[in-house]
Amino acid sequence: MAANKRIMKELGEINTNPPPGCAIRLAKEDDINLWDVTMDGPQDSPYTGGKFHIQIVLPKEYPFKPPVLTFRTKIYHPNVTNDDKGAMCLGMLRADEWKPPNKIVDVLKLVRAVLAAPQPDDAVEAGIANEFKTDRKAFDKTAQDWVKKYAK
Amino acid sequence: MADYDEREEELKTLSSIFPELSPDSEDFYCATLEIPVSPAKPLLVRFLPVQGLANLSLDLNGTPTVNAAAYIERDVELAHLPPLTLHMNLPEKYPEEAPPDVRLEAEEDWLPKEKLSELEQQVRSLWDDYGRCQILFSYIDYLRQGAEQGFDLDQSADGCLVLPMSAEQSLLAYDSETKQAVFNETTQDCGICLEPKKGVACYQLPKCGHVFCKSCLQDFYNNAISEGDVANIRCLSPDCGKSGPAVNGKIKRRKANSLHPRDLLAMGVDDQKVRRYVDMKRKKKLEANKNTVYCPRTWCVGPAKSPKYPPIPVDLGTYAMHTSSDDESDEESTAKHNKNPQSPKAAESEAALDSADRLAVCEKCSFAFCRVCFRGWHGQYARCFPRNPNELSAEEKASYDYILANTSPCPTCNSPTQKAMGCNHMKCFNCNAHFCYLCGAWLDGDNPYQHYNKSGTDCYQRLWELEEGDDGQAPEDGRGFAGNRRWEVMAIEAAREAEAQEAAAAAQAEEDARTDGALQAQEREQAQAVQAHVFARMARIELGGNAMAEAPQARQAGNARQRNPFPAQPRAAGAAMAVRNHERQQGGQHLPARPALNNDERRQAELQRFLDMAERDEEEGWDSDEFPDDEDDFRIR
Repeated sequence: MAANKRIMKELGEINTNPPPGCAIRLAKEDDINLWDVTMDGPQDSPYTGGKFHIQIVLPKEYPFKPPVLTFRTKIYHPNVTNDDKGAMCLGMLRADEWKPPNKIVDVLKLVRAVLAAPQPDDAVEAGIANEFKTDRKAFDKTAQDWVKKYAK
Repeated sequence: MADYDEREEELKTLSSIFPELSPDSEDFYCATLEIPVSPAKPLLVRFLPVQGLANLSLDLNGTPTVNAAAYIERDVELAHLPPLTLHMNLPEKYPEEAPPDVRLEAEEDWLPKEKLSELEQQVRSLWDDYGRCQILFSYIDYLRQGAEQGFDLDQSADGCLVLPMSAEQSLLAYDSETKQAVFNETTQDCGICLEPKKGVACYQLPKCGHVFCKSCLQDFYNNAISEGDVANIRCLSPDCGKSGPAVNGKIKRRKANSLHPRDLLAMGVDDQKVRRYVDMKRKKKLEANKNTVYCPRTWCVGPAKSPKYPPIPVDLGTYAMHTSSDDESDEESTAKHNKNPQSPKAAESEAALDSADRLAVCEKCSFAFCRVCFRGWHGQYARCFPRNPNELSAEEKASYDYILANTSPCPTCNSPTQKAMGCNHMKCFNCNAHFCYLCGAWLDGDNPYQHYNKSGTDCYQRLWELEEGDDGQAPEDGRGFAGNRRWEVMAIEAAREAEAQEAAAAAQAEEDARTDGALQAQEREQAQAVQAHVFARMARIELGGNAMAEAPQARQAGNARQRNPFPAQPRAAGAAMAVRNHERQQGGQHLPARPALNNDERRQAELQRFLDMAERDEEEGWDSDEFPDDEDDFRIR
């Protein structure tokens, strides 16, 4: 019960004052544990101009357990798995690092920060991370191509 | 003049400004007022034992001239001190001709006498300065301001207020009670339920000062303790423990403040839950310590008593837990030990072998035993040798099998790990090492994923395999997770095969012996009988005539190797043997049915083979290693 109240509260806060470049709504009217987020690619990053659909699942133990975040839009990024899941497992989203006072707003801010500045040392796609580190131009090019292809 | 009394007017005014002013019931012109002392900057107070203070009370400057006598200093910062009581008496000639009579009192006598009289005298000079008018309000204001400054007590030569140790308890209690009272009146925003709550419903962690509401804290910690998630019993604030400044870049990230059971009790977590937490935490530490020995009684298996991990007291609030900083230093020192093979710890455990330190007492059943040979305590002077735990109980066997089949050990600390969900990059719950769940390889924490991106390796592109956990899943391509104590499984498999061959050979030899027709009746005799038998057989060989020359040689060889065919104890009685026996009992899963030979039969057969070889003058080819050895010594950790 307490969890629902908190989620409602967060949802209210996030809708009155959404983080930059994010639009949030519930995926289904009657399920407050499933959020749909549309995030604009940050300026000055290869993702600019793209619209990324991110789904957030709030576990029933939320906020005691971290939310699970998946990119529904394919994205070429070292920290997002390049498969049909589009999973992201980073920093505060890890089960052992998650702390209940963290909010979805903070999570979205983190995601946007990671989009703007990938963290190749904490990558799930080491190949992409390697390219990001060694051949930044090629990386930017592929990322932009993918934006055009998938994120329009 | 008589109908207008300035004294009455002043007291009236004062009582409307300070409603807590209490007029004297007997003398109309007397009143008392309590002046709270809560310095803006907490006052540093040093408590000295009474001997040190003998000099101190004589010293008028308030600077103690304590000589080199040993004493323990305790410096404490107090934000709240007991209030000053101001007694005011307005004489008849006040305010024109006489100053007010004031007397100051401090509860617990915490304010030095000299200071009190200094403050008392101030009223006269104020009265003079202000032109002998109504002065009480100004004086009270002066006192309050002084209190705000801590009466400049920290400006003394010591930089702190020095008090006898006897006052310590009551002053500390007053300080914390007042703090709590102030806190209870505040409104806090709980970061978990995001609701504003009154301070009474909240709990502030004493070490780091973070505040959450009690019901959220209870929910979280109850849940974590039920799940056995000891590592998460720490301050919940995201920025707790992260701000630790790196000194010389040596201190990594500091851990978030771990909680004392006292805190958990104070925030309203059940006594039982807290006890479970303390128990788990202690057990974890015991298990992490390589020097811990366990009771050899199979029905007990409790850890031996150790001064480092005292038993949990009935009153959990008094439990002396290692603080998180202790933990860190512990970890650091063990890390050092690991690097350095000549570690003091190794030396320590060796030293334990020679002295009375071998005595261990089980904390559960109080059994006194030897930590080297695991038998009942034999006194300090008896010689003893390490012994394998003789056999495993059925439960242990089952656990062992399960661990073998369904877990992957951490490459650093060997803790069995099972994956419930997620990728195959694992971080050990016990030692925080990174490793691969599939192959058990240690991974570099800085770049763990490259392990899955080297083409040509076993785990290439397999980061997300078995994402839903491995429970009950069979790998389709046969390359998947198969209980990755891989090397142990392989070693056991190899041992099993070798044994099968050996048994087959033995059976063959036995068969040969039977057809030889000489020894059918004596197959199952005891060792001594068999030895007698050897000589009987030797005699027969001698009688055979053509073996005359070999006989002394054979006898010699037989004597020299006597220890091998007839070991003093049954061999291979270790854990591995127990496991193998257990597997054998489970029946032909791994092997086609074969005659189950017990040790005696095998030994008998082996001996038979040796004798046969001797007869053919081939005994040099006989290898004592063919007897099962207990070198394959597996243990459950």
